[in-house]
Amino acid sequence: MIISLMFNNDSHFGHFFVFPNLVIAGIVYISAYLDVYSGGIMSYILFYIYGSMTPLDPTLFGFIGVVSYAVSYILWRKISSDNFLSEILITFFSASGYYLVLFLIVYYRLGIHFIYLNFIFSYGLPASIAAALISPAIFLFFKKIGYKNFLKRNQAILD
Amino acid sequence: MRRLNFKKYRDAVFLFIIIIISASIYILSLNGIKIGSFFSDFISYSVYEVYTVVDYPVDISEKIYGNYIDLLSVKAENNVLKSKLKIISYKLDKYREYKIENRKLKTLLILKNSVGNKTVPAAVVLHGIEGWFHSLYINKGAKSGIKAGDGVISYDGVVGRVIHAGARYSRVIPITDPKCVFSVIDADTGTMGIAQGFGDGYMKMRFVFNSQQVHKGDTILTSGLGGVFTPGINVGKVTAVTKKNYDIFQKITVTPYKNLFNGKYVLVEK
Repeated sequence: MIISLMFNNDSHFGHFFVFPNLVIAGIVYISAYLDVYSGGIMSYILFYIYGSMTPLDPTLFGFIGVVSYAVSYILWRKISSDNFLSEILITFFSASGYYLVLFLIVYYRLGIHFIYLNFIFSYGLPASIAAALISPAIFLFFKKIGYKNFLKRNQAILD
Repeated sequence: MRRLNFKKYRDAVFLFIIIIISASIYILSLNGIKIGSFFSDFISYSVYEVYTVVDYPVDISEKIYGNYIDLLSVKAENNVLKSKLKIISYKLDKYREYKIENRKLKTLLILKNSVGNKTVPAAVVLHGIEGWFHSLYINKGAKSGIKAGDGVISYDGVVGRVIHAGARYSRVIPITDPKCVFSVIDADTGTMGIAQGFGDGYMKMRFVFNSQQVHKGDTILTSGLGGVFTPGINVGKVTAVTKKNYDIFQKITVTPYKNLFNGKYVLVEK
């Protein structure tokens, strides 16, 4: 989260440089290995903290985080396999959902009018792809540091 | 089986509820009811400190990278400036050469105006080094009216005589060559004699009687007799005088002036 904040995505609109949103990858991991109660609350808290460091309302990020978590949670149950490809795909769709909701709210509710195509192709899509590509490494990292704790609590996917 | 379906249903309900709650909190926040603003402020300030510390290396690396990029641009600019400097240096050398040439030509012009005989200006195209080449080549020949036997002078003094005149070039023997013979005068005592080269970089002043006055260090000039050289042109200095009772003439050694072989532009006296 700190690393993501360091390369705060919200300040890179219109730039070619896109840093992967590691928080989303973390949320996707949580949705796979934690139960829905803990995962839902944790995703809200994580994105609330993330949002606290942005110029926008942290509750907005909390809301988007929960939506992303829900998307990821549902996709994990639909795919029901645990490999690199599924990690990448689910992270990509969750990240796409995250940026889509963020864009829609920022565009329509806050009245900050970005150019659609510019946002999609120069920010939303590259950021989603970057997060998806980095997700196997994030998963591996989380598995190394907390594999036993998380896996024992929820075997939802593997079951 | 029913419990599993119920579990899935329960999860979906929970997800739906939590989405509704988070959306409601956001909507309330938009309407001015800030739930948890204290927490967000606290998180913001506390994480900011961490963020600042963690961001420091990134900031430093960005500065280093920026400096590196600047360095690259400076390097590229330096290469361009170096190439420009080379061109300017080359031009400067050319201008220096022109300056030297201009000075030499000016002195040659002064000499030309001071010499009574008809003269032809010429440039030495091949410099003889004393002891190696006993002749010089100039870029004027018979087409310019030069013929064998003409005297060659420069601003510094007598250079030699033309030994062969080609159509567009001439070969000149220096005054230190044994074949080069001409009339000279001691500028200090007025004693006259005939200068002839030794061939080893020196000359001898011949036919000076023992009774005549010639001293070591005297300046030797052309006398003008014989009509080859204009009188009063520098030849050299007396470096040795030997008198013997049984000999009629003195043995006088003359060292030519310093820049005998350094002149580029000369005048050929006709």
